[in-house]
Amino acid sequence: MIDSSKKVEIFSGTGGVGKTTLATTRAYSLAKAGKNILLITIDPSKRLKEVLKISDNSSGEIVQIHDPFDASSDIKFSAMLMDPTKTIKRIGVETGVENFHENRIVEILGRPAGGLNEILAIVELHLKLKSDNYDVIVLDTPPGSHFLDFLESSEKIEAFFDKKFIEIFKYITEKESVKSKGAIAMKFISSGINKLIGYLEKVTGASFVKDFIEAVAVIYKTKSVFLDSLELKKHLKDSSFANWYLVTSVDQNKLKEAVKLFNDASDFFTSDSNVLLNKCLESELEAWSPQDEKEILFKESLLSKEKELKKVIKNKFNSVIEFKEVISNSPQEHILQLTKQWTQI
Amino acid sequence: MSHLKRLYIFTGKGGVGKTTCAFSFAKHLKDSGKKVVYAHIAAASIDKEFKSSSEFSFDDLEIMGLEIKDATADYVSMKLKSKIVGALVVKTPFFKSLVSMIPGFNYLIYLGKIIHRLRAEPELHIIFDSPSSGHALTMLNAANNFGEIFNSGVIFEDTKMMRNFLFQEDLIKVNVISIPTQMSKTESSELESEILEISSNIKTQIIFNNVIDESVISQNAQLPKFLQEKVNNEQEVLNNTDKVKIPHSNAKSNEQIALEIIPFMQKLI
Repeated sequence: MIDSSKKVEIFSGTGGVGKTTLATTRAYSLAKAGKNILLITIDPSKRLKEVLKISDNSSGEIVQIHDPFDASSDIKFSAMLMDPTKTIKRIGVETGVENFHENRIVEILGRPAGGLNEILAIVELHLKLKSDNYDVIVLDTPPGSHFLDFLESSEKIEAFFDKKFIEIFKYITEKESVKSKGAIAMKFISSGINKLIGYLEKVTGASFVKDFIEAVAVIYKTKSVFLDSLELKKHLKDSSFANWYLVTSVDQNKLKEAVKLFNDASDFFTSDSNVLLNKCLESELEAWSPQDEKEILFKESLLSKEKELKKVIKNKFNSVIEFKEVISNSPQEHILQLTKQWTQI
Repeated sequence: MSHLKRLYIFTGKGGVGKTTCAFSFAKHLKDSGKKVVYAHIAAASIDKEFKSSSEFSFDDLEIMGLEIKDATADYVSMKLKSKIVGALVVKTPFFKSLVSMIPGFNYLIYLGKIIHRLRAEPELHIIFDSPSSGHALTMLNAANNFGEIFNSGVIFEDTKMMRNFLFQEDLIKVNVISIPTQMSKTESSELESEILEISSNIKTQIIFNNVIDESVISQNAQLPKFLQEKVNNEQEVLNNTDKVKIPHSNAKSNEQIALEIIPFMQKLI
């Protein structure tokens, strides 16, 4: 039995392991158990969106997902596909900086693969927790170690609020007034900074440097939301608050990478968190006794790979939950069967 | 027979065998007497360390580790024509946050490095093992996006040159590695069309890896239900495709698998 009393459940793992599907079916099974659930997902596949009947233009908004398999059922949960643009607008509203989303550079940073993506996911989590409308929020994170890297260092965003950095920018924006005062010492410093700015402009273009300085200024105005969200980070390590799921799958070609990710995650890995091992076939394979040489080799190759992975993972983690591979081309079938497996744990 | 391209990008979802295929392909080109460099994203710019820690033996393959810090410093130094000034610029908080926050900035730098080699050595073929589908798109889009992000300056000027060079005919081929499931197939096709939107001169191909075919199980074998269904599902996915299929290998290590599948690599050219 998995403890379902935590406020937040976080799904993390390498790409292509079924992370989003497992997060979705977890949300669905919690909703079935009568809980009020919000699922926040970063980048679901088109097919999953189709099954859940989420349209692209509703991304960034909370939508109600009704039981996808039984129209007469009243089981439902809330879901939100992350849309950085919408989150950026929300931050503007929250902090009273209305033109926040209009800044050209802020818009660029919020694009896919931009530097604000991970922090924006945490901001959403923070805002939704503040609203206190849900029993549990299930968060599906971007694949790979990006999310953990971010949680570990947060240096990208902290660099923004670095005092020295901000002061240099404040100085540059006030450069004109400083010049008019004609302080000799200031002139001396300014010649050094101006030289550096000159080099930067040569590399990135003068208009970009100007735009970026403006972007820093406007992000600085909204810092309360970002800093509150960084504060939330600490609570994610608290086992009475957050449940972590590290997801990997047996068909993965990169045991090494998964193990590295799991090691990196151990800092956040509270004592009752879980590793989810997806696409297991061991019991089915064991029950098969092929006669032909070819099939014997095939069985052995699959079986030994799965066993090795389990050995490595179980060696490191207390709670390893196995999910059987769903053999079907229908995404509905995947949702249905994995939800069933959740309720059987 | 397809024309040999200058830059081969191997991409696809996580865990589908990108590195295994990229390594195998690099071996194949090398064996046929071509000048080959294997490029990958590196945590540090020490190729020696990568060679010794990798599960593949790169002994006779030249590798190019794309690492952001050193590559950026090199690039900026080159452009400002001074190592000292370059190092000074990349150390500023402004530049540091720029590198980590602007989407695809690191890929722009990597592209610059790759293009530099390709221009300097007309006989060279670079095989780039790209982390995952999203990354490959960000990289190919980098040259386009940065025209818009920076309106002037040396990077802006460079992106113009990059676009002209990269998107000429027969320069780039993207091999999208997929597994034979419906979901992977759909996602690979989506990726393929997104790549073609960037430039129609980029060649793309979907490769189905780890296919259970008659080399793995006999045609009339009595299979248990789960396996029979798996095989049927795969056949449904592969039906009516002329895509390249690489069979499942029973070999223990990824390097052994890579060596085993070399005969299929000619089709990835």
